[in-house]
Amino acid sequence: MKKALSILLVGLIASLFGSIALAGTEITVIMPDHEADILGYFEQKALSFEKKTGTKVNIVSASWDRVADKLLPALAAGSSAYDVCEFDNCWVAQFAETEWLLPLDDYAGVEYVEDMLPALNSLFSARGHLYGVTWNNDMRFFMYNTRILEDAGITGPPLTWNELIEQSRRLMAAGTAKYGFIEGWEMGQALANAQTVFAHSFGGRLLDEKGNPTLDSSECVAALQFMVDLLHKYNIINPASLTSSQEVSQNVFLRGDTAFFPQAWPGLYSYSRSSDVSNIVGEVEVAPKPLGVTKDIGAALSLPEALAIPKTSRHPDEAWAFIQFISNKKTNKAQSLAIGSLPIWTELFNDPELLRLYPYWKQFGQQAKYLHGLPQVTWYSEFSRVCQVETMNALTQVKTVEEATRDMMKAVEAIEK
Amino acid sequence: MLIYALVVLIFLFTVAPFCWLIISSISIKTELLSVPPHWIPKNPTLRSYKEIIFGGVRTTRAARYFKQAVGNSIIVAGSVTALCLVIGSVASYSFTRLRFRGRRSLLLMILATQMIPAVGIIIPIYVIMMNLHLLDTHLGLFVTYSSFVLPLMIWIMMGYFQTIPIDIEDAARMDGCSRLGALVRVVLPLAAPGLAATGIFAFIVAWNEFFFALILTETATKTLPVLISEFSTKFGADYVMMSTGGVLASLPPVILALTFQRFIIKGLTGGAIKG
Repeated sequence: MKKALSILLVGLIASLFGSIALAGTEITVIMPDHEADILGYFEQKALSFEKKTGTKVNIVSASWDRVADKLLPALAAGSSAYDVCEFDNCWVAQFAETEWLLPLDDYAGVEYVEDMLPALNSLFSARGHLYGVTWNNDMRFFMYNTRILEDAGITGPPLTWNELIEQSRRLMAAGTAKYGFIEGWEMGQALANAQTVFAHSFGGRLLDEKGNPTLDSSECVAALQFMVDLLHKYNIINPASLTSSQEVSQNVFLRGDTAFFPQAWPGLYSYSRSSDVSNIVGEVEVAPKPLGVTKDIGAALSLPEALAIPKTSRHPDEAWAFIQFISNKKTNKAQSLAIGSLPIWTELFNDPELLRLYPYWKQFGQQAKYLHGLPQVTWYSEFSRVCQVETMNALTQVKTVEEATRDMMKAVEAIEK
Repeated sequence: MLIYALVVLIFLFTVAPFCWLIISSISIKTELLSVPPHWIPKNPTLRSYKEIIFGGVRTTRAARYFKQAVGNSIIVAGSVTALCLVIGSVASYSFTRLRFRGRRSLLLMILATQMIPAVGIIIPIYVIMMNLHLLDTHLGLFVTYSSFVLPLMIWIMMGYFQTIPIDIEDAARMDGCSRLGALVRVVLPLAAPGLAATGIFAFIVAWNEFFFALILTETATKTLPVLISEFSTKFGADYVMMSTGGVLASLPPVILALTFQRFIIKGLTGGAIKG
């Protein structure tokens, strides 16, 4: 008995010293699960950072849809629970207004940011300050399946929505694809994203420069009408779009059931080349421009995520060291090689090793001019929710496009007040 | 005949989602999404179970933390159930048998706490936990869960105590038992079916709780419902892993319910008629 107690006591003391030895500087990073996390990429990098600096990194993960629920109470309560947080570009206005984040201008300096893609820095800047450094450059491309098009006798991808309709009908008639494409239009943020990009592809925008709603502009109404018509008039889009997530739409495309993927994320190109998850290895190409109502107009979404430092962080220097480690050119290139994500550094778009793997990056310059971020207003989450509900009402024909637009305007004006 | 048809219908309505959960967990993703859907998977596999239980090269972070989350859920739900049973039974006994000033108001106040939506009190609770250094601790979750499980238990158990004739208790008192002695030796054994049913109910409430666990835990004390929600990425959910997690997470309450099945049936009807 005495022996057992002694062992227990020694064990307790040893574990106490063990915990003291580990209790050096520790930073806590909160971030949602990414496609990159499937390979444990971010965790591996955190371990490399620990080895290099001796600063322990505690990664707090959360599901994508819940990370805001977890982060916002902590920020609002002034908690120092997190030293680094990931944030979306639609949160920038709100986070800047509430002064929850540390401006990174002094940390980053001009030298560090000037080689990054300028569009990314401006997406995470507000009130003249930089609040986040992008780590996941999620810019969307219009991808298509060359084999399905060729089998239907089509030589090149569509450049406009009308061409898309015409080509989809041809390939569906030829039986080379079940539908032209499928969208992830289930009730959720992706639906609000879709409304944004369709509006831009018709030459409109949901909010003007001052943040006033322009949802009832002729362009926005035409865009919403077109989304409805894709489902109910042209019948070229899989009706399961209304209950599909983005991942489902990706799976359907990778199965070879559809020919087009209008807003494909960079990693999709890599997935399409892996026979583990794809039936269309070597068949995917990137179109020269995203789709639009005319050949001059096109729109693609830019939905990057950045790392930021909450003002309440107890270790801002270590937090910045971590952000720098994750976002520097070497790590950023390794990330692109590992998971096919787009770099954040201009120079890496000409890197021969990366271009061999991802030849479509050559078209990045051409596509970049069509990119749009999400609207930046402090009340974006409420705005997004209203848009999701009313867009779904229109898509399911519970309301006409005019009714949905009218109700959307009313609700958004009420939020604005 | 109609009654049997209704029973079958209710049985299917109750069991079908659980069957689909099991089927989803042993299906491969492409088959799960195939159109039209089918009940019996053509290529059933236990790969997701293997991945969660034994790990693998491509195991996700959520899968790696699954066993830890099971442990956390057992600790939190188990301790909440145990403590709430002890305190709850004494409290509900007092409310049933003792007549004291403010009894009715106190009872209504306990009931009123159940009407406050969780989202309305999450920031104050977060601040309290932060100041007490109880964020990401079992104790923090235990205190929070007890705050809403305990009132429920008090109200439910009062029904059971009211069914026990006061004469039995008086007899025990006359034989020399103190009030506490009568409670422990006579009343609680008689109320055992009710306690078992209420205990399982408390366990299930604490086991399934998501919102507070999401906000108040980080990595060390993350519970199963939160972890299962993490089988997803920016582009959607991993239905197979989520279903596997769901099947495994539902096992402890099911085992508990089957173990105490005899008591539950007695307990469910016991509180229905007052003595």
